Formats: sequence, structure tokens, C-alpha cells
Amino acid sequence: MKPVNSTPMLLGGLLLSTALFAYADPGQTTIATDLKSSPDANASTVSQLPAGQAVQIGTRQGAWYQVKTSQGEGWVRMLNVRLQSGTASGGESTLSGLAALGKATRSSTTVATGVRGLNRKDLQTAQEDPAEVAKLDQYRVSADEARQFGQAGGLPAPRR
Amino acid sequence: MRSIHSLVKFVAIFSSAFLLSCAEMRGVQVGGYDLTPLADAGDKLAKGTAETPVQEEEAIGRHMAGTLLGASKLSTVQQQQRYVNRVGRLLTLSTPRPQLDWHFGVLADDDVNAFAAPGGYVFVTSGLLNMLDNEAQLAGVLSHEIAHVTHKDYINAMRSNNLLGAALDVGAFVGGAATNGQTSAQQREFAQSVVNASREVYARGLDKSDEYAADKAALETMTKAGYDPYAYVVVMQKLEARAAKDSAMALLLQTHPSPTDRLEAMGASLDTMNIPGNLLTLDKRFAQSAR
Repeated sequence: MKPVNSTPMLLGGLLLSTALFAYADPGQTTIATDLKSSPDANASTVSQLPAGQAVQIGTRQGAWYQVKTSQGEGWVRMLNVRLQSGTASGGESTLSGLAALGKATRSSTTVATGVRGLNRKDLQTAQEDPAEVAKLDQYRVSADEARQFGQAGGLPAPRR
Repeated sequence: MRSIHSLVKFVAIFSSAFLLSCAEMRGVQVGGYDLTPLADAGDKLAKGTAETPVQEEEAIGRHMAGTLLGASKLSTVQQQQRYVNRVGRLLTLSTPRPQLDWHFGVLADDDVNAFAAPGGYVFVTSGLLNMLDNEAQLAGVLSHEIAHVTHKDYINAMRSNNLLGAALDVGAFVGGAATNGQTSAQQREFAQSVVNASREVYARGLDKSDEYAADKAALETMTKAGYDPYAYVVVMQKLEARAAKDSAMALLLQTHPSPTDRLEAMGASLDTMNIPGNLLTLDKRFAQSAR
């Protein structure tokens, strides 16, 4: 457990990161698409965005991204938007305060965890490693444990 | 012709009853005729109509997983491995094959990729895992790989390219026979054939149609399990955004359709799906467990 006195710092970080990450992801429309006042096809249209319109992506709700554009603010169908390369957090970072907290605590940099470059040649020359496969067995999860895990997350009971 | 047909038919029936019989016939001379080609034909007939037994699928998968792990080791972060197994195993309960012996693994590799092997093996690189924001995104990635298993895509790729050859027969034998702890010559031959086939299939990838089908199945499986399928769209958009100039994406792009094309197909799939409104992304649990 973290010391109790870290809570104000965490909350501060939460607010700060939410502010920083709001509309943090640049993207552009791939086709002409309506900017809607809410994430709903039947909502009123704020404006009609052309293909290639620059947008700043905020949160996501279902199939919709909340965006800021030079044509105003509103919601666009996410499938009509392309994320700009080099950013790619896809609006998920501001999905909720807790998401932003998670994002903030695990830092924006990718931790180097292993060898870069699992390429074709590595695979074409790979030697079987049975000891490494055996390690997989210890991590296995039973169907019952998986069901409990789903329930704990608020997911429905699995059905085939 | 007729007599050859009935002879082949006989061999087929014979071999499906006794899987060893064709292997035993190889190299046998009867009245100056070599029975090997006949044995092969009988095998193909028998195999053509039969599904690969689960035992054999799992045996092939274990060697294939071992081959992949020869090229890339498992992450040593236990919490990560447990978490990915929990999410993955939960997803399998919403597929037609929940009873397989499912194994999930995080590869300690900064490249962005995910893999599967027959019989229930699924892998994601830490490079891909680190790009994700929530459990629903992970569920999308895992569901795609789970679909390659439930669709038997790797087995089919090995079969249709004839990469396994006689190994399927040997595998049936190995799977069906009680072993005494010794590695038999047949088992070694089987393992080597699978390793060779695995190298080939992993390096060249599956058919594009298999990838599109796995994306569609992934959206359906994760939705069934209660996850927001649009989170998988976000993953594909992230891949699209990184695709252009990132060397960590090289193998994935060589072996899959472009993220842009996959997004278009996923959009079409989502249009046909009935998506309830109460689906989850589970950002907090992911933040606590996936690192």
C-alpha cells in the first residue's frame, strides 16, 4: 500500500494529467463527415467537416471521438478519423479520470523490455525452447478462475 | 482404374482404423511393387476427410510455441503474465472452443506483434502491450489471436502448403501412443517437422483472408464477453498511426494486411453487429495489472 499522504499528490496528478491530455491527440478526417453535437447519429450537426480536416481528439464514447476543430467542437465517427503518426493514444487517455491516472502513473515513455527486432530471420532460424514453453504452464488460468475474474470486473457471465 | 480406386479405398479405411499401418507400409515391397506411394495416397485420403485430432493439434501447437519462444523469450513480469492469462482465458469462454488447454504469454520484445499456435497458445509482445490503454484493447488483441486458434488457421496453413508432410501421421501416432518418458525417433521426427513448418508459417504469415476473419471474430468475441469492441478499433488506429516509419512494426506489416484496410473491414463488420450499450473498457484494472 502507498502511504496515505500520497493521496493529495495522486489527485493533483490526476487533475493535471486530465487537463494535459484533454484533446491531446491530433488526427484528421479520412472522408467528409458530420461534426455532431453529441455521440449520436441523430444529434444535431454542428458543421460538415471535409476530408483531411485536422482534429484534436479528446475522449471516446462508443463509436465516437469528441474533437476540437477549426469548425467547432463536437463528436465525429471514430472510423472517419485517422490518428496522426507519432502520437496514437487514440482518445482513450482521457476516457475517464482513472484512465488518465493510469496513464500518468505509468509514464508516457515506453519502457524497453527486451530485444528489439523479432524479424523474419529470427523466426526462420529459431531453435525450439521447451523449457520456455514449460514456464507457460504455471501461468495457466482455469475456467472458474477466469469467470471470477470477469465477475470482479463487472463483466457478464460468459456464454458461448 | 477401378481396382486402384478400391485398393486406395481399402488402404484409406485400413489406415484410418490403424494409423500406424500406412507408415509401416512405406518401403514395403510386394511382388516387386513398392507400396510407399499407395500408403501415401491412403493417408491423404484418410486425412482429407478427418479433422486433425485435438491431441495432435495440441502437440503441434506446443512445438510451434516452443519455436516462437526460441526466437523471443517470455517476459519475467509475473503479474503481467497472470493478468494476460486471466483476460485471455475469460475470452475463450465466449468462443466455441473453451475446453482447449489455453496458454497465454507476454514476449519480452519491443516489437509490436502478437502470435498464436494451434491447440490454444496465444502470445503478445510487451511492445504491443505497452501501447495499450485498457483491458478492452487487450481483449481485442487476444481475441484476434484466439480466433486463429479456433479457426485452426495455422494447422490449415501447414496442411495446405504441405509443410508437415508425414509429420501429421507420425503426430497421430505420438499423440495416440502411451509414452514411457523416452523420446522416440518418431517423436523427434515429428518435432523437427513441426519446428521447420513453424519457422516457415511464422515468417510468412497467414492468408490475408484469415486475418480479416480473425478481426471480425475478435470484435464479436470481445463484445460477447462484455468489452467495448470500438477499443479494438482504437488499437488498429494506433497501429495505423505507427505503421508508416516504425521498424518495430516491420514484421507485423509484412505478415498482415495494412491497418488501414483492416480498419475498413472492421467498420463493415461493426455495422452488421448488434452492440449493446453497457460494454466496458476497464481502464483502471488494466493500469493496475498490465505493467
